[in-house]
Amino acid sequence: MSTLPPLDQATQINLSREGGVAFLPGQRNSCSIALGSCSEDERARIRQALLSAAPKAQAADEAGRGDQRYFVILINFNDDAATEDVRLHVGEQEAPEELIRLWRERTGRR
Amino acid sequence: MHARNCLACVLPPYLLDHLAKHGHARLRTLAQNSLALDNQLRLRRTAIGRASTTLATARNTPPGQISRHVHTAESGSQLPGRLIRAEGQATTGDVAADEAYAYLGATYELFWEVFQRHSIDGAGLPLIGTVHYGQNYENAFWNGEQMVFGDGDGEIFNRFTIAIDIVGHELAHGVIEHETSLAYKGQSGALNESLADVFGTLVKQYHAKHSVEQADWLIGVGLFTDEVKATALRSMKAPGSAYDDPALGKDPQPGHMRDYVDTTEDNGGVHINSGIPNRAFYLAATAIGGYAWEKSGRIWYEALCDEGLWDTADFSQFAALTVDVAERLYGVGVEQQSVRQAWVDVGVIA
Ligand SMILES: [Zn+2]
Repeated sequence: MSTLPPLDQATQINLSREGGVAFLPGQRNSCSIALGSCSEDERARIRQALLSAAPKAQAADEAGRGDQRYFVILINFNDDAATEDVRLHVGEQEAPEELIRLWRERTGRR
Repeated sequence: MHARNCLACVLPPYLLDHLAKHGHARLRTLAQNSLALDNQLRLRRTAIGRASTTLATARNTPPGQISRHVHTAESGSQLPGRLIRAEGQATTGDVAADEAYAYLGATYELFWEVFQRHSIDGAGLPLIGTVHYGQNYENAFWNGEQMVFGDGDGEIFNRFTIAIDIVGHELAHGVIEHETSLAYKGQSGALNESLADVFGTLVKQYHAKHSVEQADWLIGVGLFTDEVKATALRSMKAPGSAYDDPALGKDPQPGHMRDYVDTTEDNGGVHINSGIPNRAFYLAATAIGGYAWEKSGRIWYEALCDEGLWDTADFSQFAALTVDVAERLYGVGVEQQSVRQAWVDVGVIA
């Protein structure tokens, strides 16, 4: 039985925070994590953040409604995975602690 | 199959739905099985949802009677937080709480006195607000049930209750959501945002009793500190001119269709391209003259409530609707012509 690729085949994660009552170009913020350059521990933590965030994901035109902020997680997979990138939108209020912690560590933003 | 690391085990219903329709055959089966299970859960959630709606309805007030409940999150993120000022209670001395209370009142007044709408749902839904949300939180939003206001970081942003039109904007999101489910992306999303700005600025103008000439047509004056070169979040009169500062960048709003911004950011530019319908409203209102809430505001409000406003409406469909509504309300005259001309001037209709 086929399924979506395991996260072991993910190569890179792009994390950004969007939404809010105005779009301010200078306040854009995001980070890229190349999983290959992470330690095994880091990879495990990132995997856990993604696994707890994924069930909270909303449709792209639901996230952000009414000026709510949300995280956009883009997961790139290697060629063996035979899948397109996965893009998840997770509302800030629903975002799991693991994801918020990852965001703060990687971007230095609140 | 790697059970622990497998994304498919934890993917949300909408993605499963997408896969069930568009995925590879084998993925489709997997998605369909997961969906069947999820639908059972969803039915249970709907039943719970109905129960809480019933509770909320019980507290609705008679027409014309406002019911405000201002809470504090005390720098946390639990909503609604601790109630600090209920309807009729005296000022608290907490500036943000008292501003929220006053401006929710001003917003209720516009909708009730001008449009005869009794609160967000037209049936007296209590107005729930929370201030001091998060730490140095730089945003205000409507979460589907209530309004939430951050304190700002004090460096770029002041507290978000400082601007009456921002409070009006967030409450208007509630009204808009009750009238239509305009998809929050691309042009329909930008219409959603523009409508929130239109009613936000009408709250401000009605409160100050400003005519179209006296109004500043800016959204969010006072929100930025003196540290940044910014007059407001947006300008309805001159989109793209509200700020230009190293920390903020330059206001990206277009005021004409030829400058429409195609982007995947910001839900497809909902807070960017809203500049186009915002300017159309400004042009229509100033051409008609007088007080914006009397005629142009009435036209936009009736268009918002019209059954012809589809979830996926684009600018030109909304434009056509406002022209129709103007004619329905005022006949073929200066109102209808001004509305039509406004949409022509921003390049939405020919
Ligand atoms: Zn908005």
